[in-house]
Amino acid sequence: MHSETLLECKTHRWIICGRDPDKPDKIIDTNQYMVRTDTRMIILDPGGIELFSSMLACALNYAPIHEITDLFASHQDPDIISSLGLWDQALPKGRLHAPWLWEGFIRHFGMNNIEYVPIADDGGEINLGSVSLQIIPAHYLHSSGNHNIYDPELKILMSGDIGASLEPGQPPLFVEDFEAHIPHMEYFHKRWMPSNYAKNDWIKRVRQLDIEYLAPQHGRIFRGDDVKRFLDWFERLEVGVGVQASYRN
Amino acid sequence: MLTLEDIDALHRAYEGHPVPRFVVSATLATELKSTISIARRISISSKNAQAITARAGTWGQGFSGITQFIDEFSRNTIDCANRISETSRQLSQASVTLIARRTMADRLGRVMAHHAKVEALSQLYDKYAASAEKLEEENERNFHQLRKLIEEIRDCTRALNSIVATCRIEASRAGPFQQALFVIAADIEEAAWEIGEQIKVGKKILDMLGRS
Repeated sequence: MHSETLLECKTHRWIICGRDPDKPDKIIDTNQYMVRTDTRMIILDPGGIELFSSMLACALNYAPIHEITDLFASHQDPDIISSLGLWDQALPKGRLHAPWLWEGFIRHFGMNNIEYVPIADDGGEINLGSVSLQIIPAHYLHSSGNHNIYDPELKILMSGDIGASLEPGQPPLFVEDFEAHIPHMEYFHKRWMPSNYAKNDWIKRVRQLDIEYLAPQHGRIFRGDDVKRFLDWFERLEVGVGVQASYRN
Repeated sequence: MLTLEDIDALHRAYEGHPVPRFVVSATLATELKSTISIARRISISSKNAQAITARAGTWGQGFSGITQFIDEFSRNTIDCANRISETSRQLSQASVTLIARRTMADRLGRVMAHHAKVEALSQLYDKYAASAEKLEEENERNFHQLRKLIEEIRDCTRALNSIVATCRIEASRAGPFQQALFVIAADIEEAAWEIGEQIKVGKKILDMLGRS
């Protein structure tokens, strides 16, 4: 699995893991993000059970196992957190931050040791000692209990499925030509995002944040002016119409 | 890079419970990966020595004879470290699968104890149990292989340390090229020491694997 440091400052750094060449073909490619401080590490959307071994090896390049103290699951999907049963055995003292709504569902992935820290509907924060990450509500985008992670210091918004794109092969890390990128994300958003109301509410709130990087769970990352381009495009897009679109196609 | 103290801290974090085998083997693979880059440094030092001794003519003849041994040991070390990385990766993956198989077998076993029509379940149970046993055997083989490979690297490091002593003697006979060859001997010695330290950590991780 490929990994590299996205951004760093004195207190912490963001690492992306993904584009796994050993991934079984029919599994959707996912981006996993890690935030490493001097003594702790959190894995954001740690991924599916099929990726666990690669993801563990990747994480150990940045922190010994006992310093991986926190996991975050933006929502309940298998590509987000079906590896939980294995992390549960791997981490000696772990906490899973996930929407309160999904606790009873997520526990089906197997959870005996890790502590479930329920995230309220209005978000909150994850305190990693020297670093505090903000939890931004993103309900119905696409899951009915769903959150993003915002780092005000490094100005990164980990946006989960928002901004996701599906491209064959191993696409580059960043969006290079926004217009050319639209076809790779249009159907995904039309089909997976069910609510225009929720979408517009999220855009309104997110526009108030200072974002330099918008980092989705699938595909390329938006940076600089492309963040605004994405928000403008998403605002214009009518969502919840993917089924009709697929009939037309 | 982990230290021996880090390994102790890792062990303590599990509060007396065995560290899962897939965690230990993945940690081993990660830790010994950097051995490869250190061994490459030795190989580069050897190439530099070859270039110096070629320029030095008769002054460098003594040192020149040693460089092929240095090269050989660095190649062996790289080869062993690559095999450790691959074997640890396989061990980690197989240990993850083993957990899934064992969990299934255990759950089926519990259901079978309270179920009247157990024949179909029994077949499934046997399948999972057999698969788990096969994985156990495979893991055991990989574990012994890892122990052997770590011993091999340790032998390479010991041999390199002996060669360094000879390097210094030959460097002292290299007249105007003496200083340059001393630097190379010191580089090789430092790299061999770093590998030696990593092997100590690797051995300690492996001991943990034996207990998991």
